[in-house]
Amino acid sequence: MNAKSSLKRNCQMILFFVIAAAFPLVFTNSYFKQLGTIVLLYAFYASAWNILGGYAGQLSLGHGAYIGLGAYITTVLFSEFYISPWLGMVISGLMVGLFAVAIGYPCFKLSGVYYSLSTIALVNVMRLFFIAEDTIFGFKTGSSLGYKIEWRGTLIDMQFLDKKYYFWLILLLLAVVVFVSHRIKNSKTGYYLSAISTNQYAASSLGINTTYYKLKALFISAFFAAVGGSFYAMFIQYIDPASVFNYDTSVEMTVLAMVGGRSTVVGPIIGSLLLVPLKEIARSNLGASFAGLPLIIYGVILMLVVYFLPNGILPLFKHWYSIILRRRREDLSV
Amino acid sequence: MSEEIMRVEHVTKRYGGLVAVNDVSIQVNRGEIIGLIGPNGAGKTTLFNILSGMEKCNTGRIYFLGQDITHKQVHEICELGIGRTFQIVQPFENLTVLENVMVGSFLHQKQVEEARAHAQGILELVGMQHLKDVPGHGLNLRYMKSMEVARALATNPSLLLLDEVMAGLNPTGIEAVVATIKRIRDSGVTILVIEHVIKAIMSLSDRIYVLDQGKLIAEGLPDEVINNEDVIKSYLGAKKHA
Repeated sequence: MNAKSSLKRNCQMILFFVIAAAFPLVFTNSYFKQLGTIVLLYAFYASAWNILGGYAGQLSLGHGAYIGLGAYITTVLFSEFYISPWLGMVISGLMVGLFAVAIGYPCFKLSGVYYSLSTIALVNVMRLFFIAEDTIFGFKTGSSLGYKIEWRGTLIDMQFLDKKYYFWLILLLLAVVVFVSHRIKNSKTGYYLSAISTNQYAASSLGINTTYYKLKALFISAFFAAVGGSFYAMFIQYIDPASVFNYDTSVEMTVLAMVGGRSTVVGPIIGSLLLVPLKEIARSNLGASFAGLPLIIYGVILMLVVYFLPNGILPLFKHWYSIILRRRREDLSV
Repeated sequence: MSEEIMRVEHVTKRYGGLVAVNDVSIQVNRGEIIGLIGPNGAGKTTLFNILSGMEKCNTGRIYFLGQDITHKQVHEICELGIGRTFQIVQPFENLTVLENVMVGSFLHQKQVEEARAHAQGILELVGMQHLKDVPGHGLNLRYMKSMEVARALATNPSLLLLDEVMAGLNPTGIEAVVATIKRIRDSGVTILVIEHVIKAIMSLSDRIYVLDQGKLIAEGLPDEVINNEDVIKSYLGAKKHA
């Protein structure tokens, strides 16, 4: 990749964030602000997942475990210790990262589908644990009834009456995860993760400590998942095990990244921009008349993409873009 | 003149009742090209897997540069300076040829640009610089094997293990690979090579070890080995007598 094309790509990213930032100013209806925030939150989740699932090729179907744990830790820090969620989300990210590494170390002894199964087990065990226990490590978590976060309502508390601030906050967080993803992808770690994702055997023969690099990817990925969970908690102001330790969310972030373009920087964002609004709009418009229809539409699109575009939608866009460029060049030369 | 770089002492590897490598001892000196030959199933690749740490031997010891590496992990052995290629090619399909080699270069180069420059130099050494932007899965067998050599070489090994890099190549391809291997040795790398192409290995090797059914049946200079009766019987076939 030469400097010119990377500069162009940076400009495209900045343009995207600037246009996105104007969204809540144009669509002032609270439904749209809510929808926009959800879309970006999923883009954030999918980008976090992509570092482990895309770059390192370790198919985690249990990232809900890190989202949920992140949400609970930030909430407890906020409610019991009066620690601002701005700081709390970083602390919970680090704690969840360490937790993920501790769980991941034995799980990475498994490969392929067996690793994926262990991650499914993780998210389900976490949910059942938080449903069963009313108090964990001496902190009241409220079992299945959940936890209503106290309203304090200042900037320090990350609590806003107008939803547009949440939109901007998640947009900022998304920019951070995109920046970090981009840095990883264009570094030694990024190349090593690519190698590990295609052929661990050959990778280790080139001196790559595969376990170390997979754990590194897992730490970063889980860190951001926990930050996303923390954001979710402050955004909804209420958490319960069923909604934060959610298996469906875990699968969905995987799907979004894969549909958009797994192991690319912007693929997860594209997947989310295309699919999440579709799902939400279908649910709010058709949810009452055909209860299962939104999911059916979602499923059909997913099947089509997996069948026809196994590398995701992004390579297709790139292909079209290159055709347009070539045509334009030909027009100019005539 | 000869400084020892690797010593393998009485290595045995069993799979259940099958003894794949049976009490094998070999010694490799710095700057040599050592040939390792034998019929299919003789245990050559298993021995390579043990030397590179991918499999652990049941008994025996392996010393590399005076250090016991018998129980070291694959990546540690590579860091110490042993590179290898695979009999069945293992490209990183999602990366280009240059990026494949860069993965090797990153062992000693931390920055992307340094690794890229280093990898380009290696590609020139194996004569593949014109293919650097081809995807790793888009090469023919000859170049696929050369890319593996380049990738292993990029880790700056003192000892390079080459597993059948000439198999399936035509005479022109073999000649090119032989020339490359000699160039690599001249750049200061010791080479241990498994090969079936007898003519090539005779001209290439300083010394040859012959394995049959896991056992070392002969060792010595190419001429000695090729006239050894056991070797003729088990490997080269009786035709030679006629």
